[in-house]
Amino acid sequence: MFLLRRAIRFALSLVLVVLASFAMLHLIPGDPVRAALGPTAPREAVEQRRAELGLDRPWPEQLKTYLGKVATGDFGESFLSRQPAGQVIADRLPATVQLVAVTMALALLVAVPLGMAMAARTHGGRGRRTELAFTSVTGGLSVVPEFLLAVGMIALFGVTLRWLPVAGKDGAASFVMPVLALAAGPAALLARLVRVETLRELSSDYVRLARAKRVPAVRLYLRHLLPNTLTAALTTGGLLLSSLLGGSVVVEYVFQWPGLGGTTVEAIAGKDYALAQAAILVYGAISLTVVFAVDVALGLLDPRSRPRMLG
Amino acid sequence: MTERLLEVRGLDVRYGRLHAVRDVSFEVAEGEILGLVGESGSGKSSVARALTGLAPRTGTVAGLGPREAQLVFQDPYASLDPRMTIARSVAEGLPRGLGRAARREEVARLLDLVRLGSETAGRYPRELSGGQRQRVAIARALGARPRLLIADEVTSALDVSVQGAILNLIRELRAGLGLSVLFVSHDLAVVRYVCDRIAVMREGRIVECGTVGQVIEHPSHEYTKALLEAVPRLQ
Amino acid sequence: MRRMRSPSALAGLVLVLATLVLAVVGPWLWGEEAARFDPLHILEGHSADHPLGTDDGGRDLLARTLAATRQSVWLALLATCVTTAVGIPLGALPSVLGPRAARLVSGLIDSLVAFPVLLLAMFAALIAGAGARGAVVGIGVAAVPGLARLTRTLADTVASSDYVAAARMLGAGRTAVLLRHVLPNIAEPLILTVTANLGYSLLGLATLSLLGLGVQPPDYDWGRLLHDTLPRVYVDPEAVAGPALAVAAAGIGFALLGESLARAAARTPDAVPRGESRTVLPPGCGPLPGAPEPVLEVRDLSVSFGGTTPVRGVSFSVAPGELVGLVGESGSGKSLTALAVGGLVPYPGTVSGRVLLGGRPLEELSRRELGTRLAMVFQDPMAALNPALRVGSQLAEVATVHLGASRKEAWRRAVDRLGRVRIPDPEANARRYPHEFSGGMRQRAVIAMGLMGEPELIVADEPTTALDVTVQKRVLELLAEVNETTGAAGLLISHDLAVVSLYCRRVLVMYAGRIVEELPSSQLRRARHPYTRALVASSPDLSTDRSLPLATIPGRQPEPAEVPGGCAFAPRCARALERCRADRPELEDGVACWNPEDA
Repeated sequence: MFLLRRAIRFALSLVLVVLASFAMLHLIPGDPVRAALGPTAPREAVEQRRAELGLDRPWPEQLKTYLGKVATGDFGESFLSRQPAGQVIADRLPATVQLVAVTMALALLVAVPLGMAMAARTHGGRGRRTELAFTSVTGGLSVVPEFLLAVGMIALFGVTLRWLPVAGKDGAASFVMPVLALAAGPAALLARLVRVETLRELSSDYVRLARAKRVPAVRLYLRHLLPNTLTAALTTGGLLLSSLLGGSVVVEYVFQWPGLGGTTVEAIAGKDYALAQAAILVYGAISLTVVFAVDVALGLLDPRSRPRMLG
Repeated sequence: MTERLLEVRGLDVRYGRLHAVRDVSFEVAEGEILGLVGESGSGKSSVARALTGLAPRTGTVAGLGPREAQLVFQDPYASLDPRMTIARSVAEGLPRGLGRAARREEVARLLDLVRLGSETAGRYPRELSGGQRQRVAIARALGARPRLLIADEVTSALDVSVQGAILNLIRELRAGLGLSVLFVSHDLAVVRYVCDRIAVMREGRIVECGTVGQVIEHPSHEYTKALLEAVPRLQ
Repeated sequence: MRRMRSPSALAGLVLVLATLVLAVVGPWLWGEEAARFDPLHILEGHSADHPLGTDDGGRDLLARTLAATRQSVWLALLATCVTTAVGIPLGALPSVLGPRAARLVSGLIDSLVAFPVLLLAMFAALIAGAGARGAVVGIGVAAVPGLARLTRTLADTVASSDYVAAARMLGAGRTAVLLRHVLPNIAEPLILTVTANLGYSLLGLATLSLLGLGVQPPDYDWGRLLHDTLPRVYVDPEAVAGPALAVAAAGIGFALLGESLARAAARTPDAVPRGESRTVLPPGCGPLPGAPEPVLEVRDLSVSFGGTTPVRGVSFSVAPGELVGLVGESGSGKSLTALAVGGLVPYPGTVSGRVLLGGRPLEELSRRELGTRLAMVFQDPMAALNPALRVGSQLAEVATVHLGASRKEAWRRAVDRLGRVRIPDPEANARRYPHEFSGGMRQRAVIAMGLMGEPELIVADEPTTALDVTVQKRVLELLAEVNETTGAAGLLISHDLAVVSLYCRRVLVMYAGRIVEELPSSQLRRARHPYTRALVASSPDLSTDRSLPLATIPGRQPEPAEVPGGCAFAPRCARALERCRADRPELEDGVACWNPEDA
């Protein structure tokens, strides 16, 4: 029941994304082809290109063609390079996925233990100084934009200390700065969330009962608290993971990462609408998939939303 | 018997797939206190909410105009807007188009009716105790000049020593204003003390209905007997 | 304002003020210098004349950074206006629509929230066209789903409250409810969120400009300056540092100010003191001399939180196989007494006095002994079991952790104990999760958990308050039976005199942190303490005289911080003497009263 509802929402959102990417070309004020080819392009060239793109036909027909093409994985071709957009994306996407996946893993691995440890240190109003330090540092990190961290790190580790490569994707060392720049904000927010949820759980009766049973602390935190905190924190924190995707565009741009982000920015700046359309479609679909996957994982983790096995 | 105020026939309440109230019928006479007793999930609170339009219902409810039934809620800590003074909260129920002076007078009268001093008017809910808040909620309901007051577990969030005062107040209001009351509670001892007649609910239906004497002294339904038997009595 | 004391709020405020001042005076003071071309000094690094260097037109970067403040803040303000103007009405819309339309709008908001803000912004900016206008619309629109969702969540909380139900019943329409109740109650968090949004807009706009999708030359904001200087980061890092630090300071300032004030307004959940603390005993409290006859021996127990002492000098004992009732109204200190007996007083509470279990002080007992010899049952069975773990494994845990049993043995034991508390089909039910159990079954499972070890003391704190009467009866009967068959000492804490009188032979009555009377339950109607008498008289039962008003006790129980000297009940007592207000009566012959009633 729960899964079905989520799946329906996922499907509807996907449709929304496809429609939005289709509508994009039509919402742009003026003539996108003229804008792309520049004011000096001959009139015939523009007309010819419009015909090629099917922009001269009525829009319901265009939508039908578009849907058919998207369904078969044909995203049209770049206005500028005339390469198939699908090909460009296929070339660029893996680097982005690697960056984002490593970042998500790091953010989760840091945030969950850190948040829980901080909750253990500060619950019931103890450890006021630790609490202050934690909330100040994570509060600061969560609002610093990725590009600032990126620029700061490049200046420090890349230029001044020369410890790490400043740009490009070449081996493990080249991952360090982009991943850190991208992970800092979401990890800080997630750690705060985990702490708050752990604190809430710590004051619940089942924890009191577990304490009355004199369960060792490690067992209390790992076995009793972790599943409950994690579900609670990810219910609200799942969106953080998809927001990484937005940040990755900037990080890729700053570090000249050979991913989809830089391509998208160039496409938008260069008015290469076909490529931009395809990139937005892919980004939208990926972020929806991440959110959906987190939802499904939570549904499976939480016994309350599972169907009853007996009776 | 005095005149009939409210007649409920074939009342049904459904929330999606949950069928909370099934074919419930009863009536309340003028100046009568009818007790609606049952355990959690019996549908008694749904009946209360349905009669005041807070729950979707089917069936006929005859005898009451809109706003003539007013509900007082269980939790006095949640039923008052924390950002409104007591006077503003109480005034919410007053008819529109009343002048300022008339409103103030009416609020003072209502507060006096529930035995609260006029100095309460300028305070905020957080400054009052649970029992005092429950009185404010009753005063607010009375401001709409209801003919039926519905009390939904009004004392279950209160301590025993405060509960008595609220129960006494409800009996006084009936005696003084001739108000009819639908008194919803899980506590048979309280219901027996306050009410004239009792309806026992189980799984959305009324299983037994009669005067206090009949239901408490000579219960006919097995469930009523089980309930009565389970009530702890002071040794 | 007390909230401003948080350092992050203070830091935010300072940064915000500095930014606003710069936004006003910046272009006047440095506008001219920022626009002055100097073809002889292009793309220079740090020098005395140009601390941050110059750009490709030889213009001073420090002046440009300072002068760009106004443009940057102004655009952020515009973007926030867009967000607010669309987001708050959109989020409030479900409150005034019918249920079906409301669900549609809510669903739309939820779907939009799933998209990363920056992607939404790029999409919107693409449509609106690269440039300042596109960026403002893009960043403004992109933040709409988040704000709309917050508005809706806040509005929903208020709209589902009893006071809104009361207003609707009194004839208020949806719009009236929105204006009178919902908006005033959600205004504060919303205003603070909008403040924080201003910071995020600033950072977002800078990001778009950095990508070259925002402000276009010859205009410039901080993001545009970053865009232009970024390629020079490898040569002249100071050229990038100016605009970067400016964006950071301003954006973080707004965000910190709004967020920390919003958090202070929402009051963090950890403000409620709860948890565990060590029992602090006065020195020289060894085991009692002589035969340790009572299982539980409590002597002069006090529990303090900071300056207040909710439990003040409580002494009692419980013999093996005995079930003793502890009765009092809310705030009497009975539950804290139970926690102190279990060694579970939450931080930062401190405990003084002695709690002896089997003749030995609680803190001398090992974790293992406490885990197996002491069983506790709490009030809310819905919350007392871990929702994420199977019931059986929560029981089995006691055996694996404390008794060194294998998982299989422990599981067998758990199934056996579930059977002993008469849970039907224990094998199958042990494999279920708590949410599949009814309230009564859960409370049985908690009792069974206590039986996993060899309990010598069972402390049950309001075990049936959350249950229906028919279920209550069976759970209490089970508790009494367990108490009798295991020979454990039992402490039953309740607000209900009748319940206690049924299952306990001896009753302790607590008022304002002290035991005021100790008596056999058969004597309750002839209690000697005026408070016990009044409590009995004010509890209606199935034989109360209906023709008389119910007895009530005037006034209320004092809070722990305001307990008067002398007898705490004296201000409410009809029998109070002069002496009662001055001297505190001690518990003697079972009653703490200077002027007791006749038995």
